[in-house]
Amino acid sequence: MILTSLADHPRHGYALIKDIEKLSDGRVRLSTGTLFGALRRLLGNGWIERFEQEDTSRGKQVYELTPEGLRQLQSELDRMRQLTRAATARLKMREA
Amino acid sequence: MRRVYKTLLRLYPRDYTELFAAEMSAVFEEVSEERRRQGAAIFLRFAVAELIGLVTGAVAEWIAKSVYAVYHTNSSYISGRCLPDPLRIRPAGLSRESYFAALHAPAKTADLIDETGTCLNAHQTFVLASPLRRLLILICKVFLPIHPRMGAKTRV
Repeated sequence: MILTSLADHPRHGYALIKDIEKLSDGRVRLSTGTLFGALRRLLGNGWIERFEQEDTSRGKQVYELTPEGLRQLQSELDRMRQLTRAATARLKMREA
Repeated sequence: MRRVYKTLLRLYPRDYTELFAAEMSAVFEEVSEERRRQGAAIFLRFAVAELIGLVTGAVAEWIAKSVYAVYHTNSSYISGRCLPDPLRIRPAGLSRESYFAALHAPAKTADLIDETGTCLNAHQTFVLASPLRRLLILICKVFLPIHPRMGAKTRV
């Protein structure tokens, strides 16, 4: 979900929490402990990187997808598409 | 609540808190302000979730650190990729104005570096350089242009 949230443009921690809540229709509310633990792992994998934005009043650190992260997100999307197709096909077989 | 949060942050491994504690506190304050405005019940739920998240997060980080320590010695479990890149994140102690002014002064930096006989002002060169050269580039690119004496030297 973090990778999805960062797919369109870079975001800082608070914006990530808000966006993930919006993406999940309010079902997922990340705590800061959970969010930053995940960010640490994503940074370690090289899927995201962080930088400081000049045009914010406070020195917020912003996270953005790396090309590696983008590839990871795309492969995850492919996997989910394949799973959806398989589930749809089986449901159709059951109905038939 | 803020005090409790900052106390609980100490449960995390030190290398983790050095990187994320300030940012976590800032985000926590922003979210807690918003939840407080939404009502007491929502704030209470948020507070409990935060406390549980912090404790479980700290446990997870200690486990990650311990697992890492089994296979590695003398280094932090935090991957080098997590460490702030001084060309993208302001080093502690530098004001935002000085930092961004230094980053946006390629001509000055290039002049200064040319004097040493190397042209290292491109980010790509920085990435490919050896650790010693990276240190030299960092000093030239970030610290020297904002030093009053070195700044005067580059203007000559």
